[in-house]
Amino acid sequence: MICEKYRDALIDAAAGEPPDRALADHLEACTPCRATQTREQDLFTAIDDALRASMSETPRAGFLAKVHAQIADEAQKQDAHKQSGWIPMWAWAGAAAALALVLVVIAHPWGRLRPPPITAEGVKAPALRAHESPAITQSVRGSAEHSRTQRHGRLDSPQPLYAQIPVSNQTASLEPEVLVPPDEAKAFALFVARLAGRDAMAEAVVRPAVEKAVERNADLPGVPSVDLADLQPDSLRWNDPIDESADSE
Amino acid sequence: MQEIALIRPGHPTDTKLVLELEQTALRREFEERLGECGTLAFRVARGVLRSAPDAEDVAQEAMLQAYRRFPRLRDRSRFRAWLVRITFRLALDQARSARRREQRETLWAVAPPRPTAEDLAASGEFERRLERAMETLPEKSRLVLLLSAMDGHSREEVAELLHVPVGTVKSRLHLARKRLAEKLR
Repeated sequence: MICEKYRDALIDAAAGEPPDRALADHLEACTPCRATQTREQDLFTAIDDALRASMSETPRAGFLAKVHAQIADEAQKQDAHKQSGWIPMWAWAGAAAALALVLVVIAHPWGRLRPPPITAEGVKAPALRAHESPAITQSVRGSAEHSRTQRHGRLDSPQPLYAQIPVSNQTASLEPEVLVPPDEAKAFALFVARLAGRDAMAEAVVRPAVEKAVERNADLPGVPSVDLADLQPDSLRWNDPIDESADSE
Repeated sequence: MQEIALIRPGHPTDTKLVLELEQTALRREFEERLGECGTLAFRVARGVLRSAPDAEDVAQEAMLQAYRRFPRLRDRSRFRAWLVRITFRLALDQARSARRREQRETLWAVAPPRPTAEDLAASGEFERRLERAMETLPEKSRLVLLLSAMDGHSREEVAELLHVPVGTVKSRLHLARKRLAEKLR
């Protein structure tokens, strides 16, 4: 058991480390440890010999000539590529990726995809203007015409305030725009004209439902709540003949 | 006899000629270095791989790769170390793929008959066990062990080749040998 404490030192000494004094004294006295050290030294020698043997091997006679020939071939290939204006595959891949990126950027104008932020003023303004503006039927007549006027910035006739705001400054459309099929335009114009006299109802129609829900929940003072029943005026009957004068405006 | 060429810099044909001359000079320089380092590359590969033909293939591939990248090598004085690293990496890759292939094949093969003691002695069982033990060593220790085992490589030269302090080489070598002995004991 006493030899066990010399074990590591013994292996280190066998591996080539200089033995310390205590180990040397022990080895002089202990025969089994001397035998172990000899065995360990033999093992390290065998390892070194085997490694040296494998590392002193030389390649076959034609090895270097073969390598030179391969390099000559490689040089010829490189020259041929340069003369033919050959472009490596990775360059083509890079160019294709760059082109694809440019096409994606062109096809997706990010600014147009992003919905404009809707402000409280932007939402409330059309509700007020729905009954204030005398030319409400004009806006109903065609949203295409309206947007064309905005786009070109032509203000020949008196325009509502929203139309005078430059397009770039508008955060959201101030005018409620309704897409109506051509054959229903007259009927819708009549409906809006009839609503003109009923402020609360008009406000209820044009105000977004979300806002109404918020108001109802918050019980804000000063804003009358609107019932669904209020939206059905007595005088409005869908079978009424269409008023041609309303359309002529 | 030395070749002499009259060139006019800036002229398109002459620019091409200058490039060609540069390439030729580069190739000559590389081939000169190859004469010194060809055997070194083979031995590094042989130290990792079990067969000499495989080691030759890997050394060839390493030298070809070195030739392709040679113009980008900034410090030409470190060519030997650079080639050793390329060869060592390629040899390790080759050894790994060979091991995987071997494992796949032995899954399907019938177990070979058990060798006798004489067979083991004749077929170099110790070398085989040593190779297996070498595979378990960390790459850094393994490379130090291989380079140190080469004739004429002192600790200082190995340190210079691997760009590490001599003390690091010594400690790595000592630990690697101890670990090998542990596996072979």
